[in-house]
Amino acid sequence: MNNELEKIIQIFLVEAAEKLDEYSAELLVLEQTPTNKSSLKSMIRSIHTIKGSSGIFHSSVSEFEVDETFLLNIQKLTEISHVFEDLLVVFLEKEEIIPTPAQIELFFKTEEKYSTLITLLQSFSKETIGIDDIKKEISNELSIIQASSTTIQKEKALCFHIFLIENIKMKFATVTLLYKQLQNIFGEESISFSPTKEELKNLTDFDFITVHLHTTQTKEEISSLFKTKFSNVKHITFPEDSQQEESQEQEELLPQQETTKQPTTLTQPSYQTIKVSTDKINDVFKHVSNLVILENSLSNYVKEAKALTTTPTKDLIELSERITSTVKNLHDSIMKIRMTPLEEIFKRFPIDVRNISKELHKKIDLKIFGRETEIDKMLLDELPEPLMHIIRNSISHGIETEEERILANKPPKGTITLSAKHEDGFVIIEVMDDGKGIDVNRVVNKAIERNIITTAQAEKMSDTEKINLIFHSGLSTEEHVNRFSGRGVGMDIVSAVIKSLKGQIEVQSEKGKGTTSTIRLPLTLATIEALMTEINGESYAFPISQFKEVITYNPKTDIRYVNNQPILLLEEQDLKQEVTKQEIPIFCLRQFFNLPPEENHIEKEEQLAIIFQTGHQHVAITIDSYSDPKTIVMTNLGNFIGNIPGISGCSLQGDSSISLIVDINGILNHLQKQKRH
Amino acid sequence: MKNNFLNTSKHIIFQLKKEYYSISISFVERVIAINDEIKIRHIPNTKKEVIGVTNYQGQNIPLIDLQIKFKENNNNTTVEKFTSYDNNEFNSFYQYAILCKIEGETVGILVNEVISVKEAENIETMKDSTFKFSFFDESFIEGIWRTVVSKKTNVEDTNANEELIVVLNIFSLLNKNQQK
Repeated sequence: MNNELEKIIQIFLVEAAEKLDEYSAELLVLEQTPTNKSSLKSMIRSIHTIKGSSGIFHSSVSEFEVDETFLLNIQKLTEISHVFEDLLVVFLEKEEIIPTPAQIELFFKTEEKYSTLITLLQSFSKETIGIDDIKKEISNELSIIQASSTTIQKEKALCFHIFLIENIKMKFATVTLLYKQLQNIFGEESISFSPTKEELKNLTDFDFITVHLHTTQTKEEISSLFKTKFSNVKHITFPEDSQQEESQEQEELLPQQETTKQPTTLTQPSYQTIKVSTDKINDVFKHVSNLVILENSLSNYVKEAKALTTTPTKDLIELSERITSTVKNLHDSIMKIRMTPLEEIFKRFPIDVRNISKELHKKIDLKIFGRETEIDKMLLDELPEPLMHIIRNSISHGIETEEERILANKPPKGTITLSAKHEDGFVIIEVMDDGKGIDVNRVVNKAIERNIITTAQAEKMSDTEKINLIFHSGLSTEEHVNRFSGRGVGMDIVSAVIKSLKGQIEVQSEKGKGTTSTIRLPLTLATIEALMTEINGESYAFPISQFKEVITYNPKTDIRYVNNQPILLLEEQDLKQEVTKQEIPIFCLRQFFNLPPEENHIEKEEQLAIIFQTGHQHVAITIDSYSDPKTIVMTNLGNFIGNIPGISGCSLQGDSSISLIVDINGILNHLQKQKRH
Repeated sequence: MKNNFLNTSKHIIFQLKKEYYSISISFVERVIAINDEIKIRHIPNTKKEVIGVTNYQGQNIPLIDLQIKFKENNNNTTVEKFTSYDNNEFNSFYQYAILCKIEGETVGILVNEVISVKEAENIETMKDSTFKFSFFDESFIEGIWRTVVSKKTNVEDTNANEELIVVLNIFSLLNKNQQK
């Protein structure tokens, strides 16, 4: 495809998807607080932008040769936006009209249309969807509102400033009292203040109080109320009339600008940001990586020179050290740029959860924790689909219907908790539901039925192992296939994606109580701390994250065999002279990688091995020699070579040789498979 | 589309052991000499033809031996394979690597000699070739042509012989189901 065209399409689609995300987020707020006009305003702005850019997009794309359906889908975006914007604006213009639940439902329905159209455009699909229904519904709604709005007297949203009389004594106590009195008059629900009661405690002084109020009373009535009842109040002003129109006009001109005018709007904190394509950052990263390698060789060189008689000058040593620290800082900074909060993908989930649960007639509360947890952008981009799949499973299989829940003595509304945190250099993402849990026996029966395991194997498996059978392809316990899950593909794909990111996924479930899926991911795939070792004269790097210790054992006396698998008997004395005994399977990389055996391996009485730990599992991997851990830049071996079991990537060394990075999880998985078959 | 490169006439001719091959220069990124600075890393449990990986200007490039690839299915012929993990021995085994870009992937073809870049003429494509022998695996070969091969430039080479040159089907190198 034409390069320029591709670029235009990319820019448009990214923007449209972004605007739609903003729209949905605000819509969810509006659903909770229908009186929230600032959310409505943001929604209008998003739709306005989509309308504008889809129009421009249409005309610039039609210069190229593109599919007719593609153009039609763009046009549909513009068409919906036209009518929809008109409808939304009515709610904003007539402040007394508060959207009803049915109208909000229509807003959600429109969101779905947008979402479908954008997805169709993204995949250059030759399909399209009908939009006449939704357009009709929107314009019907619009005419109904316009007809009725003039007659009904409804609550109005008012905003005014209170100025206290000067030199007031005990200002804060007075204000607190004032708040209380006002709340009594208008009801706690319909009035809010800025500064709030909590904020007052931390303030030294303020000029005026801003009040937001929903009431049927008119401004004049309120003015007179203050004049007669509150002696401490000097006067009140209504800033809205003059400013509202002004600000609206400005927004027409600058639809992108954030509204910062009203001090009380609860907009998210806006950071100063620039958008940079990932390619460019990767480019910088590549150069920095090379610099790290060069710096490694420089400090090696200085070290060697120091050891030899050619003593380098003090300056050179100092300079080398300074370069080392600068390069480290540079590397850290670029890593920080790549780190992106999970919020970026989490923000999309509430609307999806709402739509799915609506369709399945289940009531669900989605709680999200740890949005700020950061992870490498490259990993982040792979996560939405597997996560959404797990959540979908929780809604359709996990959470029971309202009636079932009441019978089971549970709150009628199901809860799905999505949480993220950092732990030991990993990112842990958890999806937890309080549904009915996974029926272990059903999973096992299905697995036996489909010849995935034998009855004998099933008997030997632990509950966790049984539950984790759901990651096997072709295993879905839901008898009724529905739109969202139950096609039998999915969990195996989820597991494959997580594995490709060098992560792990585990499911725990308790019948009747719920299911928890835990995903463990490295913070980044780009750099890792690794222990450098040599096997057969070649360099292998072991990620330090699961490293426990390096040990020496005697192959002649310390090894026993179980089912042909060598097991190392370990006896260790700790500081308190207590002896702990451990049995650890030995994994021979030489054998696994088809390397020749060591020349003197029969007589050898001392063997080095590294012990790694994941969860409760240990494995000892034999090595020839090792050196200090260091930070290495991880790259992949390229598509031509593809995936090699036991190897997760490679790293360029200071002397321009390549070290292979060993994939401990991969090896543990391999050992587990051996066990099962 | 696939056969187009038969007609894009300029080919790079190279020698691997006793045999001559050519590929269209449109695939070739550059030719690098295998010297002390090119370090090769053996990769365990990968495709047979992958002798190893080298890092060239920040990029990891697999280096492959064509003859191992072509003859891996043919049990009758044994190919002398580089098995040592010593860099010095590697240098004496192959002299050049031709870096080719195929569908976005750079692959280095290990060769003993790079002969010349020449206008390829009269390529006999495999469809109408008279060669129909078992040793001739069509999936790797686009065609065959004859030309005088001279290793010397600008000088009249009296030893120059006419040689048979195999035109590689470069896409066969990427054939993913060839994976072990």
